[in-house]
Amino acid sequence: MAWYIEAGPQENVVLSSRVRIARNLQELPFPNRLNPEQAAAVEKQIEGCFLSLYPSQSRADWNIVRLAELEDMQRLALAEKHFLSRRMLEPGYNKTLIISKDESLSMMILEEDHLRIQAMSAGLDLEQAYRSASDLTCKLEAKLPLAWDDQFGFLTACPTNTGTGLRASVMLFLPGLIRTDQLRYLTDILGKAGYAVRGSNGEGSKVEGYRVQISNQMTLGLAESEILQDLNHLVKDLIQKEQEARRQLQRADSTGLEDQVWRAKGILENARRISFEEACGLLAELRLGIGLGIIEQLPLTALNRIDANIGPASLQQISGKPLSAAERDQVRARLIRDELLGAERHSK
Amino acid sequence: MLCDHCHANEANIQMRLTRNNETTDLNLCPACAAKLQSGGGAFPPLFDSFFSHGWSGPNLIGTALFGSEAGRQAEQIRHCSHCGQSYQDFRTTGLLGCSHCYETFRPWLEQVLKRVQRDTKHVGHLPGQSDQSVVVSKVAPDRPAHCVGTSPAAETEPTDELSRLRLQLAEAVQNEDYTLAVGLRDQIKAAQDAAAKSLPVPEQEEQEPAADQPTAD
Repeated sequence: MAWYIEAGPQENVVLSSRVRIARNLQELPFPNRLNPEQAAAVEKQIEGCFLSLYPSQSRADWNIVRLAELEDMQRLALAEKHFLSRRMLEPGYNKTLIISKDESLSMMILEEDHLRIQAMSAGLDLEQAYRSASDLTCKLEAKLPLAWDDQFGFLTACPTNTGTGLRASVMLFLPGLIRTDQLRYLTDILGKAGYAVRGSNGEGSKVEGYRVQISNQMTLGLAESEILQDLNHLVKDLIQKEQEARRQLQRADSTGLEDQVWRAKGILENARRISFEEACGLLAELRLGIGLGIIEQLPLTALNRIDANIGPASLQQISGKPLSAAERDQVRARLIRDELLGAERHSK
Repeated sequence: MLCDHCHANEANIQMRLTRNNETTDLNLCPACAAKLQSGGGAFPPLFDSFFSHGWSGPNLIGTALFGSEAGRQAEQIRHCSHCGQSYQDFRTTGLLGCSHCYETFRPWLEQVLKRVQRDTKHVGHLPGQSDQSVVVSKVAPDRPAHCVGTSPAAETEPTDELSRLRLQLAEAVQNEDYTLAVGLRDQIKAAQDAAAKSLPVPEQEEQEPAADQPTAD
């Protein structure tokens, strides 16, 4: 089972944990100033290092994806699962994604920095994500001459990443705090405390389906352990606030809340055509209903599986062909129905 | 934090505009900061309002990272000899061109980093450290990473305390309770000093690298 389907610690509130480590080669310009030959040299050096670390047998656990060789739809499907950043979707050079078969660990080559190592885990588990990412980083560091400065640490294209190059983030599901209108206030506080609060699709994105991403903004002057511990501590505090906010919602109008959840379930189980936006909204209501115990027969893993597959590009990839908007809505509705009814049958 | 103007990019520049003893603080991304400095140009609503009230151009910007005297000196004097990047390029894109840019623009970058980072000195993982030195030791899932060489108790407790104090500080600033904020700032400083004293002596691999050891291998 892929990590993003699995249940994880604190899964009612924390959907996933991610750690990203940025590194650059010492003597070549950063990606924004590379010429094509230099870009090819970066790609060759990093991929060569990776291949030397993983002899052919263990290389079967990895996929090397050259983005220039993919269809737009395939690239977008990878982005929908957060394996590719938006910058990786921009045209240019030999951008490459090397990703483990279980899709939990990956390397983006020629993103804003030469190399970005990314590890993800289900629920609140920054430790597991950090362990995976740092293990691979250490192996690569032992073989690659990296851009380093005794004062500034690991050097990155944007000085906001320099030092550790470590960005830790969590994707939170915060219906309670959003519906009780506490998120704006918390966002201000978190910003002042050095955290970025964003929508589910990263920088500049809207908050959809009650999903909020929180990450550290400071990477220099703190040890990796401090960055991770501070974020972990903060998330635990937010979990408590979110749970209290959910109880507040229930106290205010438990019947109204139940009505919304059951209506969402009804539509999702019966719709014959559903847009991505509507599906995300209703699935969020259903997730809240499961979290509050209003719905008992449905595991969160069923919703995780749906979430992973209903994006426009992912749907077309599953279908193996381009689909019109109306066709996508139809396929999406069927996929959701099948998954929900299948999960319910299985639990009986 | 997102830019106060475009609401899309990361704000990593703080600008203070002052006129007739009235001060406005802005958090901006490099691109919007550059636009503001250049006199606004087609800069819509937020800054148009400033300009219509008589604010204009760089000479009225009081304190701004890239608008500082040092920043202007950097702009006039320096281009990176390795990649050709100018300080103006950095102001516009927020990106440096190569690792040598850090050397070229070091004094000015220090000023930028003082504002956007915790400190200007790296204190984390060193290149060439063994796996042991960064792999997270076996702790419960709710207790994240720490490096070999520090005991869990020594690391976790002060950090949690610091984290709590920093959040309280942010909350105090949010509530404009500056008396409380000053007290919290002092407590944070005391807790940091206490934590530093309580740390055990680092093991060999935790030592600073030699000055001539830029990378692994």
